[in-house]
Amino acid sequence: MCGGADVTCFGQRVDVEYMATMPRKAIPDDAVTIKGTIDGVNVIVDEKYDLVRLFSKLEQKIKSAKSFFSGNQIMVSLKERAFTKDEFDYFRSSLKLKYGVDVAPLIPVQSEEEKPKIEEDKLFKTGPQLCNTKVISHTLRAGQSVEYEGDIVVAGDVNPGAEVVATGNVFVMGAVRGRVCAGCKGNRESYIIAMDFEPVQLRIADKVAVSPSAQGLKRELRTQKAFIEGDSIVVVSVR
Amino acid sequence: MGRSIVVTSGKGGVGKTTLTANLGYGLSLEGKKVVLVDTDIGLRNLDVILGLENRVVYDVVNVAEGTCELQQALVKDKRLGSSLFLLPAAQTRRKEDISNDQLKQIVTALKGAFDYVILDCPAGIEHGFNNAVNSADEAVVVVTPEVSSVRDADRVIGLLESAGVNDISLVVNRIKPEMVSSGEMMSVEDVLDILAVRLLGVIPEDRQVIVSTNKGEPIILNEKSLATSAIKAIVNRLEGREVPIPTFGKRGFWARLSDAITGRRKQ
Repeated sequence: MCGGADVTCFGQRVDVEYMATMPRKAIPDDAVTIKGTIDGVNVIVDEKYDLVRLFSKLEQKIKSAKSFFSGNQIMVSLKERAFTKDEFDYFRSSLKLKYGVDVAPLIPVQSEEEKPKIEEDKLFKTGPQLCNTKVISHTLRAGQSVEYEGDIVVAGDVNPGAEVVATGNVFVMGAVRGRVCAGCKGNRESYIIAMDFEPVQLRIADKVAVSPSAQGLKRELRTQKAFIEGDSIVVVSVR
Repeated sequence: MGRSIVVTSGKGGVGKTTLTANLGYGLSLEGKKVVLVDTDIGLRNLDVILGLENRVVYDVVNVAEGTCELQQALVKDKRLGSSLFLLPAAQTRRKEDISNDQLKQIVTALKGAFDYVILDCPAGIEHGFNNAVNSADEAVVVVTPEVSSVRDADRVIGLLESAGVNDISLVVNRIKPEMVSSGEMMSVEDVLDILAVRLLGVIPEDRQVIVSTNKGEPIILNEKSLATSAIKAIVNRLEGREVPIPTFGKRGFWARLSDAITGRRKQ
């Protein structure tokens, strides 16, 4: 099948001038790819090749696997959106006329090598490590509680009776005297940093600790970090 | 327009009502027109402490419900001429019998006629507390140097802030200087370290206070009492005068040395 004669036999009005200027070299096999999906048959065509050749390629494939197509809806996806609406309508109605297969409206498809790049990009923007931080700009008083999926920064104290619960890390720019829980959903890598550590209780992931001063040990008045080492919570001074 | 001040604490028994009564007296002695509003409906005490129990006819709930006029419910303290009044709480009713808006309206009306409207807040943080707090422009938080009292005061300060009352000051009540010196009681600095609000005054523990409240005579009339000068200083500070706050209880040499090294407390 080639040239204008075939085109007219489908009863389609196609611009002859346009058809005549199309390149006429043979097209590779993967210019038309057929994939079975749960929604029907997906035909991916590389529309940089000429329409008539693409069509004959598709016909070839349909003939070789007729049972595969019968009764199934065909979706045609384009690698790039280069088909005009007229071209696509021609493609669609030709298939309907000749083989009785339904072609769903156009869906653009991303090429395989593009996909992971986009996902990586999204990950970078919404990743919990980078942007999910809640800032509390005041002292948390007794009875006040902050819970957050991500990190929490408290620009003030955490007073006795107050509670800070984060799935990530907790930073306190003042004294910790209440309850602090980091990595509350089980992230053992989480840590707590505070300028003055005097907590009622510290929790990191599944570990619970009471403050050194509650055990009668001397309290350090400098910035300290609490994290899990081995199987217990340790508190060390940070410079 | 007068000032409306709520005296609150969260915890009960720290001296809210006694302080309210004495501030009322102190401000009247300064020549101010003062009305004390008892918002502790169902558990009224302020009339007893002021020695006015036998003169109560109508109460704040009657005013809210329109049973009587506001002027009819005000009880005048005859010892001080015409400058101190009490709007008593209802004893046989519940906190829910007066709404937020009703109390607010009453307080607004009183502010038009008095220099100070002092609200005695009930203990707790429920309906009665919300009513009192939402009707006031300023708050005086009373705290005793005990962990439980400080904890409750901290909670109350948080609630005051979220209710939009930002002018909050603190009175540390019933401090025992000798116990602070021996390290058995929290010092004023320890309390301020946690609460971090403006200190309005410190009142030392005084047995005479119990005697005078039982008699229905405010302690401020007793010139010999230790508490009197502290309360008078608070009155002066409310009036905008600078009065230094004396330190109650000296920390020992070693404690002060360790403070100096760590830079913990600035004295």
